[in-house]
Amino acid sequence: MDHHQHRRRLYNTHVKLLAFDLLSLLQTPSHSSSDPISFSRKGALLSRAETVGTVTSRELKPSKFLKFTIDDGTGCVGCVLWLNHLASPYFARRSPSDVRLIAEAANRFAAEIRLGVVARVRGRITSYRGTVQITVSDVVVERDPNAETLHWLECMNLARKCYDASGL
Amino acid sequence: MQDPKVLTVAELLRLGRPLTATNSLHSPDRARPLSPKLSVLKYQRSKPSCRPPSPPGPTGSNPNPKLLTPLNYPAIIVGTLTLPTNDSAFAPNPTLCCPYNNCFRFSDTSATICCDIIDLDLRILGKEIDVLAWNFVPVKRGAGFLEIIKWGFPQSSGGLGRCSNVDLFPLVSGSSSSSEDSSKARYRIHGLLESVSPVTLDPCYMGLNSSTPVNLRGFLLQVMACECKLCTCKTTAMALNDSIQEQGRSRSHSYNKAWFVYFCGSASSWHPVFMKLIGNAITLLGLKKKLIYFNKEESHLMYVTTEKSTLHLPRLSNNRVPCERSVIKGKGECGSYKGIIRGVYMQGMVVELDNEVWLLLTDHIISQPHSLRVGAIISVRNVHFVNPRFSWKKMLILGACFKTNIIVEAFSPLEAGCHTVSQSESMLGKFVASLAFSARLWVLLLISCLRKKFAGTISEKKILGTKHKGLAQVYASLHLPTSVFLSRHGVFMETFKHNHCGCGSELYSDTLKLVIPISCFFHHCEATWMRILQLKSDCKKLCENNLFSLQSCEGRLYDRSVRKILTSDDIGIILLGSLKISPSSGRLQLVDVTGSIDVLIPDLPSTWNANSIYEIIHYRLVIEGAPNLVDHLGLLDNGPFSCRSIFQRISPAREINLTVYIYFHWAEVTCKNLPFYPSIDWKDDLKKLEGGTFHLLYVTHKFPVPYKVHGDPAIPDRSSLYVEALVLPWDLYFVEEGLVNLEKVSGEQLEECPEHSANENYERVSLKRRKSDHALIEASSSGVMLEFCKSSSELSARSYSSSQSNEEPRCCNSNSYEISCLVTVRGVNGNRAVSSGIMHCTRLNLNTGGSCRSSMQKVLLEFKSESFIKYQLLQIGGHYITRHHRDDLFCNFKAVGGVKVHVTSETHLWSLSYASDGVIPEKNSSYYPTLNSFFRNNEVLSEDQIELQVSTQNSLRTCSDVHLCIPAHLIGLFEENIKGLEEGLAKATLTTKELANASLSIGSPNCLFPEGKFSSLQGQVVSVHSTDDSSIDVLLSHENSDAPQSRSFQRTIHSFCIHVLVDNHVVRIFGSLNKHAYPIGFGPGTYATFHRVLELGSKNGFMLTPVTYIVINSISAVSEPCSDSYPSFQPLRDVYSNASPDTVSSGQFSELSQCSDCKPMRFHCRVVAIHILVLEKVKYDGLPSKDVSRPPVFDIPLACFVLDDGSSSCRCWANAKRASTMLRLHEKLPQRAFESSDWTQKWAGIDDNACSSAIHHLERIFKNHDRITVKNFGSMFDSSYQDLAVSTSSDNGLSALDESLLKFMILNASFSSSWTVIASVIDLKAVWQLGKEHLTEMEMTVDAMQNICAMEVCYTNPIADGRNMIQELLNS
Repeated sequence: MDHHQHRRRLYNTHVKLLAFDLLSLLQTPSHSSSDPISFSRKGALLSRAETVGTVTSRELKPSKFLKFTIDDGTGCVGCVLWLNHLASPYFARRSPSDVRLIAEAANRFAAEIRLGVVARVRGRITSYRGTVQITVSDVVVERDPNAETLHWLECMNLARKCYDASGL
Repeated sequence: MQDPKVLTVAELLRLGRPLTATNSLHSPDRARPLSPKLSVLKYQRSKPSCRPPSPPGPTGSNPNPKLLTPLNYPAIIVGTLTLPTNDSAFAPNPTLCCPYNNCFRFSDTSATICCDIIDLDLRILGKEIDVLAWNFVPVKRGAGFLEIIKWGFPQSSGGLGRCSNVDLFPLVSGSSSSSEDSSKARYRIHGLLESVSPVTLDPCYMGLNSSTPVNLRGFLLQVMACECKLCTCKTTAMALNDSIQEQGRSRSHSYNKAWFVYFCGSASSWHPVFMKLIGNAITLLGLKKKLIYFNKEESHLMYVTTEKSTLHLPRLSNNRVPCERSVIKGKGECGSYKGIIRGVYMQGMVVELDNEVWLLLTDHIISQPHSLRVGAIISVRNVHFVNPRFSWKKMLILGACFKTNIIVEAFSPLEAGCHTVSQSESMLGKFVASLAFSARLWVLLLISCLRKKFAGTISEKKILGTKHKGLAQVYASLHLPTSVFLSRHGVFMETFKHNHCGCGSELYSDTLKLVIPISCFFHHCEATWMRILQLKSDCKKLCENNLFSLQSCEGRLYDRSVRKILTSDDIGIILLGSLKISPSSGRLQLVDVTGSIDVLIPDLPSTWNANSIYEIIHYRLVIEGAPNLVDHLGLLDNGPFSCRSIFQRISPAREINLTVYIYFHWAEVTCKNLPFYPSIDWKDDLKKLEGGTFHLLYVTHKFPVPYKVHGDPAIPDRSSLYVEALVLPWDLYFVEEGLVNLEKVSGEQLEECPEHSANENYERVSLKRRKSDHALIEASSSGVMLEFCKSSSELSARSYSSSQSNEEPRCCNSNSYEISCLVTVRGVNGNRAVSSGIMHCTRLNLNTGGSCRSSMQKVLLEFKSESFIKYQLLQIGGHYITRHHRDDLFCNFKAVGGVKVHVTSETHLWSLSYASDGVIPEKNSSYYPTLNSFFRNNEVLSEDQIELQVSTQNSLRTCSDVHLCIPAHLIGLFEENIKGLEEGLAKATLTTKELANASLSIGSPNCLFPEGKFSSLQGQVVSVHSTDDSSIDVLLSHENSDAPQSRSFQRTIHSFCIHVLVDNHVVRIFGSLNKHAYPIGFGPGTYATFHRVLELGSKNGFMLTPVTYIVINSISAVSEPCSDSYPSFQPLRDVYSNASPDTVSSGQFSELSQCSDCKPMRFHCRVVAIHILVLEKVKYDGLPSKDVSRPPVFDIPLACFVLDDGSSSCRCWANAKRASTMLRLHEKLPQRAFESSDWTQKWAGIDDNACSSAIHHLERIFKNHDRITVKNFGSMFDSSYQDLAVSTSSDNGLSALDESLLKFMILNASFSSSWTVIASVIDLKAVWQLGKEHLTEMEMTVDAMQNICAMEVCYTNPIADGRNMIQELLNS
């Protein structure tokens, strides 16, 4: 595997990183137009992440976005869930029924994000005012309190076996 | 500040509501100054309404007592605190709640009530005070109780003068003219107040010569006096002054000489004062010394109060001597305890402090403060610490004796009522008081249990007893060893000779077993189950491997439950109840008012009485459940079993997720012919048998109980049960002499009823056995047998002599024979009766054996609901007799086909066994089946196994009602004939018509029968698992919090695959069976006989049919859900053997590229997108479906998901069932999806769970379509950016709504939680092949993404997987 491939091996994967790790990702300007900033951790490029934690803040701009914070015990990750699908030109080229489905799903996620719930959030890693945040693609509210612990363990396990593995 | 409102006592009484008033506290100028040390405590007390001292915990009557309602305005009460006066006993005041005239009084102009006060200052006695902070608790109508938290002197009074001689309090007020010699009253005593006895009314003889006793009220005070020079100084005045000065140096005193002071007459009204002074230093002046005789022998020199006696409280010694802290040994030693009252039960006789600390106040004479309410902080002095060492619960008992004093340190802020003990002592009360402390608690628990168990069925009077002993006392006396009975000596003796009266030396009561309500028993089982799994670290062991409870059959994983068998000795609980048949499940249950538990009794006599109360001391408890249930149970609001739960009101039994049942032998049961029930007249049972003719039946098959689906029109509400039987051509006649009662089993004579249990109504009629009694019983039982043999041989001799020939069967006519025999009838109580009888054969030529088919008839016995119990008692392969009636169908066979006989409640069926008389002398013969099987079960079988059917050769002889003893030389003939007959017909299967009839009445209407042969097989059940979609099972565990939804799935009938080990060979039995149709105990680890299963084409395949009847032969404990112990068990297809739980290790997708072998691995991952999905309508070609309950409408021949586990993504190919799991087809679609979309209009009002699942919609869609393909042309890494193209095979495409719904389902699947997937790598070629099979064009994207094939899919179990991962992290 050449160096370039190795750098990108985690690019499309939803990496499970603890908040402190996620927040300390290296941000560098990217040449890509869609992602003005790229993120890397120990040389590996990352674009997607998954986090599990308690929802500690919630700010809703109806039909625009929901901003919330996930606290996983090691830090707080800001998350933004866009709710503007129907109005955004970004989705204009897709079929209206598909956009509506996605918009409905997003609205459902927004309703599920309540203060105090433990949420599993997946999305793209983005940056807002210099801080790493997650642009949310989906949300699962975890009912089992052990889910959070399992996530920590998975983070540790993945870090040990996959993310920190040498080869760069 | 607002001026406080002055309330009167009468106003409070009129209100009749519990109240607290603390607002007035905030006027500091009015309050009396507080010492800094106490102020902290007082602050806490002063704000009860806003902050209770601590959470009060549950209470007796009300588990969540409210805080006392605070008055929202400052209110004070102005009145006078006085001592109780004797005269009130003669003119009872209705506003006083106190029956024992022992507490402070508070009076204002309007009324007088009982009161209690914290930090009593004796100077306020008799003076008007302002009560600034108080609680008022109404006691009964028009009466109440005042708790004075804080008081002050009215401003006008100016408080207490500094110089007033306030420290001396005359004990008898206003008495100056004394006839007594004042020179005698010259003694003084100074010391620490150690204890105060209860107030008694004793007949006193004044002087040795007086003959008429005077009832004198009084109490004893124990003072630890100091004998230093100062204190013993006889000059009162000087000593007093000195001693006052001495106070500062009080430590120089050594209080070590115990003296008693008898307060009698009017001085006895000081009792409440001294209760407050316990632990303080006091000085009593003006006492006289007197020799007091308790009886003729015992006398004691003590101080006695006189009319001149005064109490002096050293001003500075207001500090109570703190309680000594000592190590609690629990052997009855005395000590002090301080705690918060958590509950007051049994009219105040039991007070719960802290966690499982029980204060016993059973002596009625011990006056409890009214303020002994839930939430109060009390300290108990001179109480006996007893660790009862009960086997069923750890606890500490605080036993109160006459020296025990309870001091309320802080009043309860809760609305808990106060209890008052009635002054009259009941018979039961006396009984309880005569016991050691641990036994007292046991009896109180027993009383509480019995009241709950029989509430509404047995009156309280009968349980508690009035003039006669109640049930509780009778029962208790039978179980209590004589050692726990104490002789009581009265207050005086026990106070003086405290250490010699026995209450200080407590014997362990570890043999006392508890009787508890059945609902509590379930909670206990749940707690026990958790403890076992946790303590024995089974759980840890099981959970080390993530797949601890999973086994593989055709690659499917399924749960296996763990079964534990406990003996009653481990549990320490006695079961008491009546035996009933459950109307819903048809199972035999032990029932009380609170609940019911399934029971297995292999030797239940048909003559048992449903109205009797049975006591089961020796039994086995079987608990079954999934091991991971521990995690869920732990999350439930499920406190461990406690005595509190017995004293408290019983909460309605909630459904527990464990299967719990008990197993015992009838011989172990003690039938309590309780005094209020008509005793069972065994003669009645036996009379039914006397005389007449009886038909002999042989049961060939039982048709199973149909499961009643609520509201299912296919099964009528009042359905019948059927049993197929043969009427054998033998009739039994009793000869005229009738039944002769044998002596009762001599085992009962082993019983030595305790001295205190003499009750002639109360018969113990069965063996009560302890392990040490083994030898005895063995000896005695052989004695019984010998005795019995003797009588039986006598009888048989008699009967034979009466018959003309005992060499050959009598030949009455050309085709009829008679055999004389001895008939033994077993009664329900173990009693036996014998008679001689004749077996008469009419319709058969004996010499032809069973060849003559027309001579016997097959009947279908029909049981309506009222005779379901009779159905339960019949066993396949068993012989039964039933009385011949003139018109009965058993002998009037006209039709050649079967006859249906309706078994009514009048019809009686007795089980029958037979043996040759030659075998009687053998001790181990089955002649005495009860004892015989009893020994078998206790000696031969292991602790972890219970046997339900004792099979001797081909005949079942568990325990028969009627036993025939046939002459040795004739039994051969009889046996051969019977066997020949049975073999001739037992194998005969039902005709098609009968089967159809049976299936109509029993089975589900839409099932199809494949052709095949019925057969029976017996073997060990290795595993049972559902063959329905596994997602249902995972759904159940995943959606645990969503109870209503889970239930809807539980209701459905599942298809099962049962692996049975028959002769070291595993066979599989398929079929659909409702959970309720399983016999109890069915599951892995049981030996079972499957009657009438259908042989399928393959050698190892069988099928359950609606007529299949499963009989459990034995049940074993299962603690290791691994297949290691069954070496011959191999999954049928080798490819899956790789997936056995032991070999599957967890892995990551990023490691797949390095994997050269195709070993399956376990992944935790989530669906990101779908790659391709093909759905097809299922076309039935007439072949029977394995899933008879709900044939699938569509299939998923091809499905590929993109999974992401955090290390990489990969494509996962899945078969129909796994795909439907990952597509979440059985889950309810999010309700919001319907609310906000166009679908709402179309399917408005759909709220049923089943209808809102995706599968329901797909089934609807497939009514019009044959094949639907969905491909994702968009992102494989972002759920929201999938570009899903839906195409159908037919010309008419999907409607826009359906397409939208389908896409929604796929999105919903992409947004699911984590899955645990077991999968192995498949190469591109295989993928290509797979695609070609189902798709005409298959685009292959060449990328780095790996392909895997899913073998198992289930939702991640966070706790089990978490444990596993910790282990992995620690090991790596």
